[in-house]
Amino acid sequence: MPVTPLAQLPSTRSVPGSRLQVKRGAADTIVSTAAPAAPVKLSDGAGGFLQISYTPLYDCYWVVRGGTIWHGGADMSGWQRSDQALTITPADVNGITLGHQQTMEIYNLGTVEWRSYMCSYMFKLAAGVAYTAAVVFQYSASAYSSQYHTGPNYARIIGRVTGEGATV
Amino acid sequence: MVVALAAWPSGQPLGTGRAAFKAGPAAGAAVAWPANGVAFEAAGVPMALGTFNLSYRFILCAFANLIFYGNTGTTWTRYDYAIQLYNTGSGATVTDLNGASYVQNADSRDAEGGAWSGSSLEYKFYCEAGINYGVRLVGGPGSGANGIYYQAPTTLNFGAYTVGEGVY
Repeated sequence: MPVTPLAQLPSTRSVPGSRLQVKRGAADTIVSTAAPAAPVKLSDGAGGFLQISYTPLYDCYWVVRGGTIWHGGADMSGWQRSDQALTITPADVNGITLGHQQTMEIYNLGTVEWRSYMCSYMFKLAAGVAYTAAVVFQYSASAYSSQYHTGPNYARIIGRVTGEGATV
Repeated sequence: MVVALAAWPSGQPLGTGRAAFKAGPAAGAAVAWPANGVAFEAAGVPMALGTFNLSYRFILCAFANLIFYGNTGTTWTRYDYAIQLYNTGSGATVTDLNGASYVQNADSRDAEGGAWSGSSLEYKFYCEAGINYGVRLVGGPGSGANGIYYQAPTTLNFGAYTVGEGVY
């Protein structure tokens, strides 16, 4: 990634400023999931998704962090695996569409309470491309169900732009 | 200390963040949980980032995401890991301007029919100007007995970026 001296920055654009995006859950609901055939974006509880979008003016990195609280469904037997993940569309400069896939060890609903899970990834973005990053339900072991909370105090995805034109 | 825009050298980029990122290798592999102070690896390469050496004070944000498994045994076990701040010249752990040299997670897990679980850690180090800083991901003092973590692009990542250049 080239480094752009200040004197060469276009005068018709804002200076690089490390922009920030925040999307919280929109309503207190509990969503049940089952093993998906494909990744499913997490709901915000009010008809939207836990996702953020950004179109950079400069090549840059996008640090994205997201997640919510989870527990197992009533049909779980012992500890089981369920995964949330961070995705991006279109693919970033490195060809990444699936960022971090976070495994979550969860238990039958009636035995173990809620657990918090957050994860992060750093995507490399190209100037002028409209990107969307989302928190998704990625995988569940043996078709066991799980549940997540969409409340604004639990569910969130946050993006921060860094390294605009200047990376190590 | 705030650096006025007019005083900023025209021959270097604006201070909008330097970034570095490393993820697990394409050829996934389960690896034994590292001992206290021993680095996590990606295909034999230690998970370390840097050098970050700026001409003004700055905040170095670092984050790590991993998945792990307590693969044998019958008791609850601690799986600790830490992000250390170190000098890339000497290799020695150093403290930031707030006296912090590392941040650590302790994740206990039961091996009862266990499943892969995930964990995430992040911190912001306050760094002095003119020092060769790096961050590295290492095992912590918890035993980590019989534990493994998984090296893959979507299951192990480590990132760092700078903010607040010249502002503090």
